[in-house]
Amino acid sequence: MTLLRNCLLLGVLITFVQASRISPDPTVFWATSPCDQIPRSMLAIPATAECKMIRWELALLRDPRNQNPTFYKLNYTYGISKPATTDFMNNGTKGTKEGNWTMLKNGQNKTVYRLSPAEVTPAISFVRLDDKLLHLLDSDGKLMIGHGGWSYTLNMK
Amino acid sequence: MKIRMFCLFVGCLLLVVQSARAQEARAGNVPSKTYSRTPLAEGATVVGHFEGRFPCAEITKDWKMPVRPECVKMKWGLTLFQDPVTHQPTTYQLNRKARAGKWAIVRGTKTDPEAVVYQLDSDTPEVSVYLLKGDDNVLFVLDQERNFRVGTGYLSYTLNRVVN
Repeated sequence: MTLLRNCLLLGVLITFVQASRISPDPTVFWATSPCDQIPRSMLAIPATAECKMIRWELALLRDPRNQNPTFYKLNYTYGISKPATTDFMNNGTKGTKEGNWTMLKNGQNKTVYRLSPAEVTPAISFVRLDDKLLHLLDSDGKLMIGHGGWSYTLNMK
Repeated sequence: MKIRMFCLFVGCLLLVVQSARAQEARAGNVPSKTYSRTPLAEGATVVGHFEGRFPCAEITKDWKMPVRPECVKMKWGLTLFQDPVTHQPTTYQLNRKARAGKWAIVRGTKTDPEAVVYQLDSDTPEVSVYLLKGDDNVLFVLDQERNFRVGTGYLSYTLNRVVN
């Protein structure tokens, strides 16, 4: 009876661990973009903050059982670029957003990844260009336009 | 003395204006304005002017040129010209004629047969650079097999429309 109970307990434990386990290897995308008003709103960067560039690092996790989207973690740093380097003056200011992400199709049948932050900020969406590239979209679903220095394309790390 | 002071004042004013413009953040999703003092070509013969920075080595290889170790990134200012009547592609100029040639519109990538792709140096395919038209304002630099190129955390293979 005790053996049966222990086996049952072990089975429940294994099921629980499998169900709660997140994909061990998130897919990570990164980029440096301009600090225009639209990404400022998305990331809730204060209007008074000095910001010329944003470094994005987006980790996307999937359910290992069916590869469905689950959680994301977006780490970002913003500030002023340090001349002649790829870094920020005074290391910039860091922030994090976390939540669930979903996949949907847009009107052109392209795959769009949508991040759903818990806070009330404009939704953050990316169009999937291929396995290794994402591009930030505005609220109308259009590609965000960068400038001569930086773009809004995220590259797989 | 007065003339020298005046010139100094004007110089400072230009610097301030340039600096303010360089830090200007756009309120909407619109093309940025050029930092160049020389106006960009405009009119019916111009498809657009696109700018971007990306890693140097891969494009240099496409051009069959030796890759210099000091070439970490390259900055592009690309102007595409068209026939004003037929709107067919004619010529392109890169970085104010540092490189120039013909371009053409070709269709399809491996993953999207309908994709619109701009082929620079279309008359010499062995050194062509391919650009995928994301939309009217954004182009993606492809490899010679017309696959996307993956950039870094600092630079992406993307060109953005810039206007006067």
